Amino acid sequence: MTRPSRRLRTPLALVEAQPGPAFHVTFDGRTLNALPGQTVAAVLWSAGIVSWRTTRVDERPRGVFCGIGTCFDCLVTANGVPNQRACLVPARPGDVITTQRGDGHDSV
Amino acid sequence: MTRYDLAVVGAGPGGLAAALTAADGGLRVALIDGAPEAGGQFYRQTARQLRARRPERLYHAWSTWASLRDRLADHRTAGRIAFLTERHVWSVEPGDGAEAAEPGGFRIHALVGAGQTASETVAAGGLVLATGGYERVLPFPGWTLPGVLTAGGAQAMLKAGLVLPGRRVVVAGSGPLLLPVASGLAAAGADVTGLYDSSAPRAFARHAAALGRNGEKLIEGAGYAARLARRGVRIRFRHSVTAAHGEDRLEAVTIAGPDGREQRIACDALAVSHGMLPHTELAQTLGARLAADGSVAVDTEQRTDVAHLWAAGETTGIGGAALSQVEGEIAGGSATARLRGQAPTGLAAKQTERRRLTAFAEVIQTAYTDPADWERRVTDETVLCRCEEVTAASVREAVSDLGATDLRTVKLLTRAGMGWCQGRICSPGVAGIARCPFTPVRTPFARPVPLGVLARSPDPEHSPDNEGTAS
Repeated sequence: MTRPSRRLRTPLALVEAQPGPAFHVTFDGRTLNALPGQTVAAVLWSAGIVSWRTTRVDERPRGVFCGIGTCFDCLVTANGVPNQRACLVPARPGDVITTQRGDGHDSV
Repeated sequence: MTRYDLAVVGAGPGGLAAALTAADGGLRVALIDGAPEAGGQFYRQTARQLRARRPERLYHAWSTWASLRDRLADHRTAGRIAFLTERHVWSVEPGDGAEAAEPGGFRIHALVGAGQTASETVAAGGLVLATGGYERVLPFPGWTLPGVLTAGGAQAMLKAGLVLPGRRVVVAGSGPLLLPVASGLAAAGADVTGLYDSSAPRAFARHAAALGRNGEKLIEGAGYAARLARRGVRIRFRHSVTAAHGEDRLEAVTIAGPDGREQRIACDALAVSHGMLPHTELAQTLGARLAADGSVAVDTEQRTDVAHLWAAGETTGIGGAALSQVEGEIAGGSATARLRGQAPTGLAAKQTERRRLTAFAEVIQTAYTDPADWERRVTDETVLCRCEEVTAASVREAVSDLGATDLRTVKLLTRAGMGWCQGRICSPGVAGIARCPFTPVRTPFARPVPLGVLARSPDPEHSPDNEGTAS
């Protein structure tokens, strides 16, 4: 059995992924690279971003918790629509992703 | 509206096995799942567009999966299984709209696609619920910080999107899931600084006889342990995470050992869980009886106490992928016969295998234990209900000052469990802090449903009777 060498230890390298060309999305105005097939949460993680919502009461930052759509902690505003689960929603070219404040309805 | 002989909700190992077995037996099957691909959580697939050439490096038991996948493809080609993906089932109801009122028969309502703004309905004579389980996470100070996530969540994000939660990762909690999660993260390049399980190895030794009959499962665990050792990941039993630290994101965790000694470990992600709980909402909606442990009660053929309703996999008790698959095969075999008014034959070997795997699962459930005194370590300021931001102090007051003695009363007094997740995440923690018995979440719908969907009839084009379901 072949083992991937140390320098190749990234998830993409481990499974020898050959995704299609990267595209751009923005997060709070910053341009990020995204790969076809990745969710919004995966794109944000790839850029080192781990929170994209502040809570309604204490305005505390939140990001992915359950990763499978159960907990609703990873809610995000995408293309002006708040309360989307970043761990489920696929990223699409040109997506405008913004930090969701509270229930997200005062920012749109 | 197309009417199927059998509908199966959930395309993980249990649901897939049920659908394949029923299709082998000649039934026309609708297999319904929320994800774009089959696999469930255990075999969650990497997004197709990422074009992984060696996906098997992220999975255990890949050959088992490959066989299930190929059989599904054959049945789809032959038209025996309709695989309805990205369907999020929010309600099931009795009655399949057939002219003659037979016992059984169901209509299954699902939100469609990532947007989940439209609903459609599937009718079937029989129904197998293979809705799986979800993780149980006990709270601790700092557990709401970004960077703290469930162990299964870290694994799901890795498998589906090929991303890591951080560079330096601590894995903690208790249960058999932690080993494959730590192993997968390390293989994908994370610096896993340690795996901390609150259980005591002595508990496993006490059950050595029962464990010994299940050699392959032990070897599976030992295999993960060896791989972790090769990558320099330490496994420590009787150690628990007692706090997560950081301002706006995780910077470190505190780990406590058996002697009470604490160490602070710098990290940017913590993958944590304390076992699994069965998803039972749909079964409860149909009035199926639950067992004492909160899972769906089934007989030796995986039948619930509702006519023509079967359940298989983690929803009938947490036991892992191999057990789920055997249960699915039994459910599919039973459905094939029972829906034709016959008694099933040839289930005995599978039932024996199920008994063996169930006995093993019960030992595992007993051997893995929660962190000692976890309730005491939860400070008053700790947020227990992540959705409604209800603190431990509020829950303690509801008990000490307001006299709450059950989870429902605590919820009504504090709003803990009333938010988006409907208490799925916080209930075990709230029950522990309130010292009330844990009772499974019961909700009108299995997931939040847009008001527009409720206002419309479930499937206007396809429902001639045009009955609403919002009442």
